[in-house]
Amino acid sequence: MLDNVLKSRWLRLSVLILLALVFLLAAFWFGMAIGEKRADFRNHWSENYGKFFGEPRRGFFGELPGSGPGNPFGNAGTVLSVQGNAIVAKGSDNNEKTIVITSSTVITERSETVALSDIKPGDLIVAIGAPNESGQIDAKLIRIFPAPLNGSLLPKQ
Amino acid sequence: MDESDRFGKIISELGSPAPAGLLEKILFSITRRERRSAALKLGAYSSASVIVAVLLSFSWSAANAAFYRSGTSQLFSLVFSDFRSVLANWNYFILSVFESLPVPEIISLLISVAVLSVLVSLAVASIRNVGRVRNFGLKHA
Repeated sequence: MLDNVLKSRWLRLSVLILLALVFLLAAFWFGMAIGEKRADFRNHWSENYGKFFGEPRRGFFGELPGSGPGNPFGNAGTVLSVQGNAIVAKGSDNNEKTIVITSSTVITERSETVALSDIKPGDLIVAIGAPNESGQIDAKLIRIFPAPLNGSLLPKQ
Repeated sequence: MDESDRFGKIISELGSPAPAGLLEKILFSITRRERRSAALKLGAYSSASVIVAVLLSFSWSAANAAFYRSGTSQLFSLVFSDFRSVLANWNYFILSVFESLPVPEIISLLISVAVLSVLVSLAVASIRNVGRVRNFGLKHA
């Protein structure tokens, strides 16, 4: 009896549909959670843009040009400046992001751990971290990459 | 009951004698049509597979370029260079990699792969069907 139930096509189909639903809902929930973080980061980044990077040219409704910062959890790009305990870097989304160095930030270059003072404008870095309330990224890990021959971490656009 | 018996039954039900060689002609015609149909399907699926394979190569190069442009490959390379730090901050690492993924290019690549897989399996099935077309034991078919 139990064997017949377990071999039933309808049971298999129902389980498959349920699993698909669970997967879809999990993906939806994950997307919502990331989207919320992203929207928060973009909002705070936009509010503090003038404070950190100078007053930019804005659109007709006062919005910032371009698509805004993409990744609130990291950045791969070129260092524009180092100000105190913060690094301003331009990433693949072509927007400036402030990466804040905290006491827990690890900065590495090749196989060594280095200090913030070793990061210079023009360096190519990859950072991961958490978005903060000011639209900056509190860095957890920063890796300085050796400069490639074409001078850019990312291909020329 | 084979084709010949069935044919004999149909003819006897019609009540008039069958012209000589009618059964062979009918079977030959069926075989020829089945072969033509299988060959046409094989040709269509093979041509479509080639076209989709060309599109796939474009999708592949677009996805490859997008991976570099978006910084995904650089972020992912941290797994090899800074494994311990990545492990300690795995949640931010995963979110960062997910956020940087070039989704439209990946979707286009996956769709191309899926369509190509279906077309190739259909083409292989057509090759089998060409070999399986019934001969009915006819020498001239």
